[in-house]
Amino acid sequence: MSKRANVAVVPARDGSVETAEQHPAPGGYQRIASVSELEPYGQFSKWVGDHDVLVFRHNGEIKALSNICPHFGGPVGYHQMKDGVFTCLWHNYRFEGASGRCLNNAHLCLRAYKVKVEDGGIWVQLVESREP
Amino acid sequence: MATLTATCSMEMDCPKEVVVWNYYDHEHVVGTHYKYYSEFRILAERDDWCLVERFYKLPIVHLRASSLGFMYMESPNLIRSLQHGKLGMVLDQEIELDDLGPERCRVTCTYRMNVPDFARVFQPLFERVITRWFHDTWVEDAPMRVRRWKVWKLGFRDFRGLDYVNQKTAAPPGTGGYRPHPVRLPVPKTPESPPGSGYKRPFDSSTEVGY
Repeated sequence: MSKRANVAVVPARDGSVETAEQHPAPGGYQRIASVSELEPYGQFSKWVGDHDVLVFRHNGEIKALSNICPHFGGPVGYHQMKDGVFTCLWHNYRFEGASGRCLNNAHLCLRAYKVKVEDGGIWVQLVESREP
Repeated sequence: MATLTATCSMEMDCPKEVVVWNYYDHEHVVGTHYKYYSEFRILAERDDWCLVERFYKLPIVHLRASSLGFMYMESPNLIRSLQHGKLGMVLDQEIELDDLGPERCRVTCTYRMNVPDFARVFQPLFERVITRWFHDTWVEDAPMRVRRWKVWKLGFRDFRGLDYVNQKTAAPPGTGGYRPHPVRLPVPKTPESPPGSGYKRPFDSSTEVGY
């Protein structure tokens, strides 16, 4: 069992925690990590700009969801995914990895990010539309 | 009678209002503190007072225990919690909150327990257990408070999330700047199932990937 909670990385005081490469490619994709970062848990989360992105492997496919629980803002990917379901650390809200659907509250859902895997990197589209 | 006492103090990178939110968010004890708390029940709650029963395991002595706790705000800077344990003793906890600027505060917890005179020899053990408990729960609460403050400043709305994330648009200008965190009590709860049954942790061990 991992004890990484004891060395939890928390946001810096200016709120800038992102460490990923932030060079948007055509189409708005950003390289946020290398595929190797999925090991050893099959998942990781990372702040990229104003987004906290949860990247994980599901049925052989790499997917990305928002890591921000819409309930109170907790970290959805703190615990390793079990049986295809993430359980938020703070209040145990459960989310389906495949769809982002909340199993506790039908009105809540995690945003799914579009993902591309290229040159050993994981690219995520943070912004899809310029208009709100 | 003798009084056992312990005082712990730490600073936080968030306003004191976020700390108040954290203390009144009872539901997080079986989430964030799942290693210690197994169950809790809210017996009554209104505005800034609540009556809560908690089941937990104490550090160092490794005792499973439960207590009935009444918590209220004596002032915007002081939370008071009175916890009645199964052995008949009352733990009186004062949580003092001091602003150290707009995004930083100090939390000072003072614990007192009246005991029969012969039990004053337990003062060193009392201090050790309380200090460990404060530290262990602080290590888990601190990232929660800092994260809550971060997402709040990004525009987070409870039960909605971040609009720019959900709408897949760019964050509006000024996102991440100071945004007052109001103290609205009681903190909304997830409905219990079935009503009155309380909240139980779903597991007591996990593979933790981390924040």
